[in-house]
Amino acid sequence: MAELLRVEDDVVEIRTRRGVLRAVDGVSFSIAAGEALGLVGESGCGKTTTLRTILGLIPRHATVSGRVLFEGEDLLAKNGDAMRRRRGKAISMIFQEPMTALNQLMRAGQQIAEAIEINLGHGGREARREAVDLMRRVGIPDAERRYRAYPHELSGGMRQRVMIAMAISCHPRLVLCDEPTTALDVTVQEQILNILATMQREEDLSILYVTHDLAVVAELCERVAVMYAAQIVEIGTVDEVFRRPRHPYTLGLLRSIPRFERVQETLNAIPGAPPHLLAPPPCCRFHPRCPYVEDDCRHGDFPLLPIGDDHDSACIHSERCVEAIVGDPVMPGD
Amino acid sequence: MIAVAPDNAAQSLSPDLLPLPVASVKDGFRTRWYRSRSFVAGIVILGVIIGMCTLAPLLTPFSPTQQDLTHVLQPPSAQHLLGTDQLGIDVWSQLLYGGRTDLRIAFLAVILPFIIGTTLGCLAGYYGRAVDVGVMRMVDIVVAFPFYVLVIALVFAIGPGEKGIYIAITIVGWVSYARIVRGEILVAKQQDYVLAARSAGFGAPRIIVRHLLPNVITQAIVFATADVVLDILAIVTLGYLGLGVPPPIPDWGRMIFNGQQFLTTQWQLATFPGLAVVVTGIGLALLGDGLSDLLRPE
Amino acid sequence: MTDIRPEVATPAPQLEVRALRKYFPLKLSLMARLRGQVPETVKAVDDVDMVVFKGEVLGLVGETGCGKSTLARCIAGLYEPSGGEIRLDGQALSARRTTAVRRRIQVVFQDPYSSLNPRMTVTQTVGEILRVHGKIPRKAVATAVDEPLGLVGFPTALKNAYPRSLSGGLRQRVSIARALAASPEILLADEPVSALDVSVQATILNLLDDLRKRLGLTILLITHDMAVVRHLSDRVAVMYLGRIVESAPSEELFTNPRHPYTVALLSAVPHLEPGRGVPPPAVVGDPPSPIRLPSGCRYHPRCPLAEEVCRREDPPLEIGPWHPGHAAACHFAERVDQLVLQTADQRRDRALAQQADKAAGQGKD
Repeated sequence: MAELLRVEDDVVEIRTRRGVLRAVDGVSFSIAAGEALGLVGESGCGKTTTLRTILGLIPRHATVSGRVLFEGEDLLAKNGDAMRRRRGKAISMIFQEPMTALNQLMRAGQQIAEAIEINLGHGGREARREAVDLMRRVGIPDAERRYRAYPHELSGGMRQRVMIAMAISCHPRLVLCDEPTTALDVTVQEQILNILATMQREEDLSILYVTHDLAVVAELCERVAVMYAAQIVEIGTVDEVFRRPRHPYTLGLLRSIPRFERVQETLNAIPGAPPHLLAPPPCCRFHPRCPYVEDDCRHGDFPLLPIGDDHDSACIHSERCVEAIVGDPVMPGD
Repeated sequence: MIAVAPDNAAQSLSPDLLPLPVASVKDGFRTRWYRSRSFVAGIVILGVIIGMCTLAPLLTPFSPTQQDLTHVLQPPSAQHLLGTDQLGIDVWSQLLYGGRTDLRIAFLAVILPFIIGTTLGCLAGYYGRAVDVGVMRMVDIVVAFPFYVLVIALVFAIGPGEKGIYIAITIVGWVSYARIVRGEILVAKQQDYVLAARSAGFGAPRIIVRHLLPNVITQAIVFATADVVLDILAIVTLGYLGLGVPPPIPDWGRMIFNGQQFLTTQWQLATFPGLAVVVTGIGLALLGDGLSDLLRPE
Repeated sequence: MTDIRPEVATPAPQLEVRALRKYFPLKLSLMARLRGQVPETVKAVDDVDMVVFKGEVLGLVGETGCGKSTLARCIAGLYEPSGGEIRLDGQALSARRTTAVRRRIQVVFQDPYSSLNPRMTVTQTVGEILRVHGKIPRKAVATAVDEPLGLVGFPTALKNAYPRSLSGGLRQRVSIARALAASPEILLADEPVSALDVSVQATILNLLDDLRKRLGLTILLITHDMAVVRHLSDRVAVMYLGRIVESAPSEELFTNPRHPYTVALLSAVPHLEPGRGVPPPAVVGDPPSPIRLPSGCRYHPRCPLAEEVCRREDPPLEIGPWHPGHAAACHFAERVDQLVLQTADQRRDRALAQQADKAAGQGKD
């Protein structure tokens, strides 16, 4: 499948009072057209920052290096104007908290219409018609009436749907999602995920979905990248990574979350805590917490290495994970 | 992600990757105060002013009440740094000793309104309903009158002198504290740790004093620094109107009043006391600003 | 309201809630009142019957606006109920509780950042409970706090730290230690892990499980996370718009739900199963607001099994023939298993279709 987005060696450095912090440290991945990639990790791992580099939404005191190739063009090299044009039309973003991302003083439908007017150049009345249409498509009942509603008059799920309508209004090729359903009820989340999956199918839309919820990624995405301490530690198809994880962090994570579909006796929590990101020494960042740690883990660089068909891992002892799964499979019925 | 303490104790963590040490308990007010530029600036300015006023006897040989009718309205000289006024009294001495008077009264005058206002605000905010209504109606009554009108009326009724000033300012001044504290308490009341305290069965006094008050009092303290400025102005204004500290006790307000007729000739008579008020005000404002930064628990 | 106690012989419940109501009147503007508008009420908790047995973990689940947090706060004595009663070991709890009574039910809150007083150290926070309830003298507090802190695995080296220096997981442990310091009989955990990182959740969940076993603690677990509920609970009660619509032993509820809302809720939970695909939405629209409740059965506007009787009559919460401890509030509870099959079929069909799509898409290039 044609490659749509490629992130190469993305590094984001933030100057803090205590030193330089690398929020994103050499992250590389690619997304094909019509494909959904999940970017998972816990808070502070750098997944949200990575997402923001794609659109250049990095605060001024941070420096970004690396390349972000969208349809072959490096977005980080362009100047601001060209980026903005690309932003609105081909790449759009859905945020976690729709209350802060929507203009409180403007009617919801008007905001969608405005996005259409600016980005597609369609006139007022036509933009309005398209906006109402979009609202219906994303499942907002009584769209005509809801067009005139202000964001605070809508529920969380409705607001998120308005955001999605805005995001897809200009027929983007890539939608960046920053934990869009974390704050929503599970039944509403299901509806939102359905909308995204439908868009992906019908419009050949690519999705980059950032979340900490592995189950959502398992349902929505074809591929997944697991981040830890500002680096990607494992990447591959959802099937491969979740059924046959080849990084101890991924395995640890899978064993520590309560799984609805499979009741476990105790959850195996990963001991310790993620490291601080101020000039970490070159070593495997997970090694202090790793049950399979060996001497050669403490020094060196650990880039992602292919270990299977569309399955890369940064762990040099990934076969230990294979052994661990044999007696105790991750997926029920394996 | 910066520094988190390990969730499971006793881990063999590689020393290079140890999380940053947990911020020590001492990383509070005492070690951080010098980092706030406003606070330091404020302290310095006030320190200088208060220091000078306190060391007045060392800084001037003259008494602020000693008249010398042979040397009235002298311009600044080596002997009289700021000259003399129309009664021959050294202006520099008046400035220094007047500062003592005004600053002392202003700082003291803040205390009682602070205590009364905070207490009533706490009770109104915590108990709500009848108590709240009662306190707020009293607030409304006081607030209905312009500040100076009420103060002047009260001082006029009670009679000149320090006592009158304290009483008047207290009656008028508690209102701001009450409102501020009440507002903060209404918010703090909803915090989970207060709910935890309530569900743990703590009585209202303990909750108010131990849990609510320490978290709301910073706003009151910061306001107090601004209030001192307002009180200085009030005292000075009263002095200007002849209702303040009676002569011959030195007072910036009266200095301004006396000096204004000589603005074209000996302008320093009225200007320097005014400047003193301004600089003190700036110092207090900076102090309050710095305090509000430092007293936040983060 | 029919008794929901199981018909098999069981000990008397430790906590009983009967016909509990909590209404919040909405204030009207002056203009509205002049126009003669009647003030609306939010019926956050509307006639709830519930029992909790000693030593069990009861999971109370539901989505936004269902009233579970309000119910929890009524039980914890933070709200005065508008009606009904709460009994602890048979003794009715009045609105104004004594300290001795309050000690028996303790709460752990959701947000580890606002549930600890930022100006008190860990020792002070936990110590305060010991002083008020355990009557420990001031001097003995510093060592006395070691016990509850030890129970939750909090490193004693950090006990003089302020909350701002601690991670979310550690703060939550302090919250739990504070609750335990009172030696309560019932622990009310209101979303205890929702605000924590995924890997930290495991440690806290294990801790709660461990405490329950060691101390014989009764836990009322309030959460929206179905995986957490399934992992930890012995029994589960599902709330919708202020009412309990279904309650049953944990596995019974998950394998044999008998209320259409429960079915919808369960089918919406994402499974960590690659290839399963996104499930077709089981419900339409958002939950209605608790201000304007639908007539009859509250769920009928969104229910696929709804009929005329559902619009007219509110079904009582009744134990059904399928299991002695399993109650559901639905006129057609016996048909719900077909609904489950339907949903499973839909899902399977859809997953197959999606897989076919993807295969076709890949074959294209």
